[in-house]
Amino acid sequence: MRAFVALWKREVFSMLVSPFAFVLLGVWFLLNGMLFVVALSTQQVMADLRLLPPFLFGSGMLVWLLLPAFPPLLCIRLFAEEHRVGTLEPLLTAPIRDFAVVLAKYLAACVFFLLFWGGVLLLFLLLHWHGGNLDWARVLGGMLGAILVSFLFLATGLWASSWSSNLVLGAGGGAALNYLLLFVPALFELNEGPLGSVARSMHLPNFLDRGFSAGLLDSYALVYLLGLSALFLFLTWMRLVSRRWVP
Amino acid sequence: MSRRLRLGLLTMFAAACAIAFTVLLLYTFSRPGLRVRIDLSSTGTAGLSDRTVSALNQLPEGSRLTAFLFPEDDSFRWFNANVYPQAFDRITSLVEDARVQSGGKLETLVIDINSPMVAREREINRSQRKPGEAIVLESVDQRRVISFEDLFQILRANVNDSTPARIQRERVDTALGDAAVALASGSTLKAGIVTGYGQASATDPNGLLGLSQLLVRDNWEPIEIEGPADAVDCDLLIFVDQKQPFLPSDLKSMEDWLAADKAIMVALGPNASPAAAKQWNTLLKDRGTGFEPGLICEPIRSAAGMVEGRSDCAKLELNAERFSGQHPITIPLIEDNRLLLVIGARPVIFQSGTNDYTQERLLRTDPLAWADSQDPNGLVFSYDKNETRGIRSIAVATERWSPGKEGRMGRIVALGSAASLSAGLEFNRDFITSSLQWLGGDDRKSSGLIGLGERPFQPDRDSIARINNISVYGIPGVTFLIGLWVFWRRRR
Repeated sequence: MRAFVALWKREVFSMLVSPFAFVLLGVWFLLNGMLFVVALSTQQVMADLRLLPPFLFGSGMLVWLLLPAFPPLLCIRLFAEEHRVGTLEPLLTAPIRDFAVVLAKYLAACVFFLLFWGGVLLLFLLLHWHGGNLDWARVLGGMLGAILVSFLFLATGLWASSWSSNLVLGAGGGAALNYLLLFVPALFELNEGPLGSVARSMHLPNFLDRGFSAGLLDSYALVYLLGLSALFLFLTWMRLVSRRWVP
Repeated sequence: MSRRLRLGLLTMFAAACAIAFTVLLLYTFSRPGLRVRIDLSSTGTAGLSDRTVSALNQLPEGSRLTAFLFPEDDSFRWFNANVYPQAFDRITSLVEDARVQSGGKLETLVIDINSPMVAREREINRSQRKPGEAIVLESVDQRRVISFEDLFQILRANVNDSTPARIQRERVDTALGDAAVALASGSTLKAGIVTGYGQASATDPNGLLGLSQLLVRDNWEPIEIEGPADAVDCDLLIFVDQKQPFLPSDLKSMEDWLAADKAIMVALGPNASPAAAKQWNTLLKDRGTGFEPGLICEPIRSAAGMVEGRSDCAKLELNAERFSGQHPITIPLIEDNRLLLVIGARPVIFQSGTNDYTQERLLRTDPLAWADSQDPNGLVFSYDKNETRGIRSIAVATERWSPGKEGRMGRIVALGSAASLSAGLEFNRDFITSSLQWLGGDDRKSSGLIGLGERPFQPDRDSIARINNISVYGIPGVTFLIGLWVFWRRRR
């Protein structure tokens, strides 16, 4: 446990002192700030601030474009870069279980990603301080959903990062996987029969749009997001274990 | 088999097991019995009510709910109105909640303007959807249609001062619940709309089509009939602006209908035939109500004082103070603080009926009202010495003190305005709905209207500039500066 905590702290610290992570954070804040301002300048949102959380967390560009891309970028340094600079082997031979390594890196990325969402929360607080009468159940519900989706995307990014020392491949693979998770269900959502049912039960923006950011917590959405995250963590662990005999 | 291959296969097997376990876990938790939805809102209205959930759970297996989110009324978009975004946001979240809470009996589909053309056309054809219909709820052999106007009470745009349309209240949850109850029960009451005495048709958009659609929404089956003699298996008879008196055969049927204590809604406006009004007065004498000739007028309150002599005097704006606080029809309207607009009404009167029936004045005028008589010079819309001022009844409800034959209450609603059931239905929809519920035997059912809780944001120019600057420059700028500082520290 002590080794796990030490590794987790090391990972969090290394992100906090990484200029790349701050550039990523700055670009995220910039794009989100612009989206926020654009959303706020529309008559619909100005007339009713209840529409802002679904706009940002559900059907807006944040979910469809930004969210799938940023977590894998944060994850590339977790395994791909360690592999590239040759520090992965010593880590895997250190007296700490492989799964603890995966978990420590994942949780560190999750904690750091909360900073990303902290900035978005700051935008809502800014609105509140300027007299915006926000529906906090919707804001916090939407944010919880978006955080859980980003945790899932971090898990897929971590898995993609574990496959190669090539940073572009790691980040691109993770982002591609995330976009698949978003777009494939959307493509088949209107199909009739089992395919349509499965697609609807996997449609992430619907979880956010019609659930979390409408102020409704759905147990299935929670299980789906946490379950898939756990699956990708397990697959990452499998990949690390298999490195010992499949290079 | 080499050790490497064996371990490789083992790893793949473990990964396959993990995937299978996750799929099984998701399948298990997607089962209706294990699915829980928690409403985070302080009002508890973000999701469906217990009544609606319970009704959805009683739907037959294989039921289907399709929501059509098409912005079809352009006036709801004038002056950047927010009607459709708000409405569609509410419908989509409740439809999703309905899918989750229906216990797996309801398949839902949301079709909007972004849906693929093929899917859109397929669903429109399959569900026989007509313009204005927002939700179609279908079971194996029945369907319920809920129109957009039934779901939302909308204040229309004002072209004169460029005020956009806005949603005042909504009843998506209640409408879904009503439709689900009707589908689950599989039985509907039949309402005969009599059209054989000069009345407008129940299929005419300028006539009684709106009333007909309202009846469908409230789980009635409207049937257009020529006269009371055709109302063999009807539960309610509706008469709107009768232009001729009954023929003897229909008059006999009407007397039998009344003797059997069956329900009636009769609306005679100022233009109804005097002979028909006289006949109704005879028919309703025992019930203690009837109709008087004339057009009810009220002075218009304006900045210049009380104005008379304009046709607007015949448009009666009724607020909660003018509704009976004792009757199940009007109590929900008072609770919801509704406003009615009755255009062109004749007085409804009390007659000396028998002691078997109660009478209740549902809607009334203010004390300065008068009934403008139709003299040879025409209507003048101003009070003259031949008329008397005073409170006039616009609608009266009667029923038996105690159940009569076959347990019926003999409920009747007499309304002095025919326009309230045709052209002016839009302004009196809740009163008519409440009346139909009472006539159908539901003594007390809430209209289900709730506020959307709009949260407008109207900051000044400085606030907007500050929010924009902090969002786009402030927060990202500080982050980049911290990144630069980290970079500089690491180089040292």
